[in-house]
Amino acid sequence: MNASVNALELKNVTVVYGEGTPFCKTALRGVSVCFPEGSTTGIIGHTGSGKSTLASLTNGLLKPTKGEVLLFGEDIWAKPKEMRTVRSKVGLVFQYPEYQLFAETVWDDIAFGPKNIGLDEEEIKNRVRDAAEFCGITREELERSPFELSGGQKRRAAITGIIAMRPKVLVLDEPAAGLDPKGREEILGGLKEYRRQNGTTMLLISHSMEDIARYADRILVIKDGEAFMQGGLNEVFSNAEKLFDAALDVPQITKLFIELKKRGLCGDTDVYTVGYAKKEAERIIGGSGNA
Amino acid sequence: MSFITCRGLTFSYSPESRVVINGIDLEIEKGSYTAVLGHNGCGKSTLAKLMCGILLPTGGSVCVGGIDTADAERAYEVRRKCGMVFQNPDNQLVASIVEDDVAFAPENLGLPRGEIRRRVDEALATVDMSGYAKHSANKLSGGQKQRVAIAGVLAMGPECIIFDEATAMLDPTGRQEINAAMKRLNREMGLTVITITHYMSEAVEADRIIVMDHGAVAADGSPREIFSQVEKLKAISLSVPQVTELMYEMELDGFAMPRGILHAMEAADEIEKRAGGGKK
Repeated sequence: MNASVNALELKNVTVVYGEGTPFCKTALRGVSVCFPEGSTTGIIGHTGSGKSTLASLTNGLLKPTKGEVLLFGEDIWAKPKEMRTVRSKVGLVFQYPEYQLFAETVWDDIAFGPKNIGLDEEEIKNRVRDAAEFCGITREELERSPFELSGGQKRRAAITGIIAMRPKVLVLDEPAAGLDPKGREEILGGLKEYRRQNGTTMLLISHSMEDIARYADRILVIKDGEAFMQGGLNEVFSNAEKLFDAALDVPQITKLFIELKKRGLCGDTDVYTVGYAKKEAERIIGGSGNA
Repeated sequence: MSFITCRGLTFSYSPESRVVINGIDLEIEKGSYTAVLGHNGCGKSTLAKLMCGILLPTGGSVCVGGIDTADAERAYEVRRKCGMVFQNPDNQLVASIVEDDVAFAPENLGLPRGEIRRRVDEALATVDMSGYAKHSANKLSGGQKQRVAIAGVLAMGPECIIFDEATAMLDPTGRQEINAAMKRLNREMGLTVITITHYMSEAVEADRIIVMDHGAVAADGSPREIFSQVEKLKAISLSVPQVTELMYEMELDGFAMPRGILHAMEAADEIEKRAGGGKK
């Protein structure tokens, strides 16, 4: 397989809800987008722009009204009877996944998916243990009822259940919403490490430009159901004006460098993380701190 | 003048469970704008519910506008003085039409028709939603729904509104709308505003920040004072605005950068001042 393989591709996809009724609404309009294997794409857009609709398309929960959804080059709707295979390859983590916990113990909850695809006992055990270790769920927590855990722990337990399926593509709809900075770091940092070790392709929907800057390498901007911008972090965040148009924002640190550029102090505005900003700011002032 | 006064405030959800609020003494000034920060599970939301009488203290007391919240006979007075806006825009609207939703509370107060009309119109105008009075509430955006929820509280004629992560589920524009509304309520209408948030960019807009940790107040001061203490905030798993962190990191590298910088513009000024000057 060469490096430019697309794990997932949407080809000219349109989704219309309630077609032929007075409530007919076009949620996505002619969206074409590629998600290269092993990449993490941050998906941003205003509320109601169609982000969650796009997420439901990725594993066949929703059928496009027009267009194709390709998973490793194959149309997932070509053989609808094999949708189960698609669902075991594409893991979808909904918003507030902790509301979906249901089993008596955390272990049972995580094991539910692997059991359902008919794996043997030993393999199920391995998968639960591996996934739990990855997401920082302790042995003691595995024996507890998921309803005794804190909000952040519940969220991690729910994501662990998806990771135990070892999906090739992981789609996360606002995985860190409502968590404090430490909780965000634990979940998003854990997922980044998981991707690094397993080469998983990730789609990360978020309202936080700071999180996208830190954890994604590509960005897809959706505006009113259309793919408004897509590309590397650089290409997208350097178009601050266009992002403001789409009711979006750039990270605060990027705003600082846009201002510094206006004042003629630096040429680049492709600064999204504090680490890189420090180097640039110290270069402007001169006399590197580490010298 | 203090509007909300907590004295030795203690709370646990049941006698066996852990103490969520552990002996807090706190005064919220009338007409002030306060942000409450803290990691998940530190007791922020519990404190908010105690401050408007949704929960009652298991030890100590809370007084709202001079009324003890534990005084069962005056519970409705407390609720009228102090309203609350919650996180999820989808589960705090009760009617299908915007103006009906806003009218719900004043109708329940048994006010005359003309007065209800006046309050509803005024409340919708305050949150800039007059144009949507006859619209269906469930077709609004998240930010618009939250603004209707605020109007619903305003129609009660409160002296204080508490926002419990009211922007957590909104996109950047929705967040800006709600923050602008909070500011206007405080600065122009003189309401006491308390906002619980994880967004540091929202906390910097307040006059005062209270940082909570393990059911107690860990720090209390102006945004500049609070965000100067980068190490302390990190120790209790909170973050600071990106530019504040940048200044702090540069200071660690030996650059004489000031502490407590909160906005991108200020940071740009500080860097421009020192440009080409080298390390001091």
